[in-house]
Amino acid sequence: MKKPTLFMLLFLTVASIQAQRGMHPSEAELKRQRSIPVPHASGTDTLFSAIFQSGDWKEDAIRRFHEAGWCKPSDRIPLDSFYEASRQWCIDRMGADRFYRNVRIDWQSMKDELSKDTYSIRFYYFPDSLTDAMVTFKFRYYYFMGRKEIYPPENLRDIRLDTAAYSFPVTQQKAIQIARDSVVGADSAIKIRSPQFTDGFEWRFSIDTGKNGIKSFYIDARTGLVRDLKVAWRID
Amino acid sequence: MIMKGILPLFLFIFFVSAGTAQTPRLDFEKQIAALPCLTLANREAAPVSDSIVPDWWNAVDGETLIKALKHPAANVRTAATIGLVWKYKGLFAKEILQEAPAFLNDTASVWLKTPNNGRYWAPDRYPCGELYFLVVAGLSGKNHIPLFVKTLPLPEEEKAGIMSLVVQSNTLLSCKDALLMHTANPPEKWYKSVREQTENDVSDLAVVCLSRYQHEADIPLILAHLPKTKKEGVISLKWLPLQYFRHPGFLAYLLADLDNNITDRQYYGVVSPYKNDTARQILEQVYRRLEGHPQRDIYIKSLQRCMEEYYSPVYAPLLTKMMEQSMNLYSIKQLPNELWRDTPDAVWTYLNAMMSAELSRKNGLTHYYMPDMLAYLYRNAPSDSLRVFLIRYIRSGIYDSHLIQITKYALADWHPDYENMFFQLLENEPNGAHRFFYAKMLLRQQNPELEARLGAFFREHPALFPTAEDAEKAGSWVSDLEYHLSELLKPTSKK
Repeated sequence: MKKPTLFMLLFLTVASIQAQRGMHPSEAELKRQRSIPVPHASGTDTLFSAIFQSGDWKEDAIRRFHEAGWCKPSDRIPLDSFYEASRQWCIDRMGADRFYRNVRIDWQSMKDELSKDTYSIRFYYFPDSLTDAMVTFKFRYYYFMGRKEIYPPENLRDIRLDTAAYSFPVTQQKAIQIARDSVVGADSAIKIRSPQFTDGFEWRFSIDTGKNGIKSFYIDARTGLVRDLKVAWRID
Repeated sequence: MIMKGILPLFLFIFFVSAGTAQTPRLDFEKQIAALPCLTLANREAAPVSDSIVPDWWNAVDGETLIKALKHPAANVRTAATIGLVWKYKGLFAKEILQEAPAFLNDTASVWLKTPNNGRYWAPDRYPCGELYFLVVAGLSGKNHIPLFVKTLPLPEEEKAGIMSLVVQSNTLLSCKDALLMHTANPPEKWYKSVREQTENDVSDLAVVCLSRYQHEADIPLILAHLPKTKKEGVISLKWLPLQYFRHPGFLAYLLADLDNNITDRQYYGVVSPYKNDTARQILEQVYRRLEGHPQRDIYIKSLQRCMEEYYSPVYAPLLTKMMEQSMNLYSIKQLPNELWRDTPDAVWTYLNAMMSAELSRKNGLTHYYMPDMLAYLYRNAPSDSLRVFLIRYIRSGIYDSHLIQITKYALADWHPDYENMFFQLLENEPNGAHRFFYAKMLLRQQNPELEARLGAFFREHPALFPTAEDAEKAGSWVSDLEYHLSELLKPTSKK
């Protein structure tokens, strides 16, 4: 008689937690939902097909999507070559395996913004060893007054120069431990909220230490080094 | 076992709490004060003034009488209650109160308190009008008390012993507000009674009621019985009759009473609506007499606002004079549109002076007032004036948020002069996003010559070419501009 009751309670608890998680997905999860793995085949036609095959896209939805300017060839920039150049740039710096395995492309970025004279392609990188961590990097094709320039992302390291560029031994839990050891101290009353992963491959903390103020700082996910420690006090 | 016990408990609390949350109980006691009163039920036929009223309450004010209602001695309480009824009896006479259902279309339950502290609940709810509420309130709201004067269906022995009465209703029963303040057109059959009450100085409220009828013949009576109290609570009772009844016949009085009201802002509000020479004369005198007053700025602002609200060409000279002399006080948003029609030169001078003053402030706001000024000119002035103003004052360093608000006026009525203006901005603007925005404004004209000139400009000044970041930032402004421009160009936006 005991087991079914306990099981029921456990089930209800887990179900409610799962429901809450489902209602408030993390930013990384949201980005994952609105992106697709980068297809191996080249060309934007292939990419657009992959995008529309990835979800339950009806013809009418695709038509309206195109009308709004998304996922269609641009008559102002050489989109194919821009996409290929971006893809190759990433592959060169992070390796093809990692790129196809951990990088997804944001299909909402595939739009020719007439008012900005810029075409952006956004990629999301989800590191293997980290959960709830995601890095955005963006390529921009800028065409204005006859000038045409491609701006590659600045936050992507080159594995050819640094073999440990995509190794992140400092997980979220380890980062929290480092924060407690080297910044917060032994005061167990101080709560450390989960840090956010930044596009600079760092964990960003903001901890209210009470009378010692709100401490904000970064911990490098590669090295575990703490940097940019700042203290602020509430004035309310 | 513990879990087995907790689960039902949890469920029980959950359902019980959900149930209680859905049945809120109105706290009637808070909505209407429980008012101890003597019921006059068994004496209704007799004139109140003939009752056993001691002389002392003749001299005391209503507030003291209200306090006396809580006096421990029963005879004092009784005297106070009768005193209240007598003192204010004329104001809301029975024939007035018979109309009460129109205003108090609510029902109330009634209970009575007997000497031995027993309570009697009336068997039914009664329409408030039938209950004949008698308002014995001043406008302050402090002594706001309804009295019950109708015979209740009670046994005679209980009637005789009634000490107090409590009425409960689910409305505020703000008889004062309903009957007096919000009755713009009181029934004509009340008029005679109200006039008599005014003549007899029954209450300050009587003359307020009388003014609602707006009878020209009553002007001398109203002036003779204007309330003496100036500020009672928020509203000055003194000016209520003149606010409700605007007639040139009052202007002589207002002019004569000027000395007493130089710093009375309600007085400005009473005078301004007349919009004639006497009103102008009064307001000019007020303005002159405020010179040197320690709180001059506050009163000047009020004076301006009154004249703006009731704008008339007769006020134009004074308004423009005030604008010149009190530049920092003026809000462009309140500038009457008609002022441009009546005194365009004065307004033009004022706007220019205001803009120059703003631009000369080192740590001041950057182009803070400019969108409002342009909006004003766009609504009222010829497009030449707008263009001259824009070209004269637009400089680099505009707030991001004002960029669209300012440039949309140039695009709404494009003129070749704007080309140089935008090129000058491009040359001097340190913000790359702004430069991108200006360049897009020029390209928007789809003029090949202009495009060539722009190309030459950037070849000559390569360092000023906006970056991709600038373009991304300013691109959203460009999109927003199209929307704001279309709104501006809608036929209704220009008067």
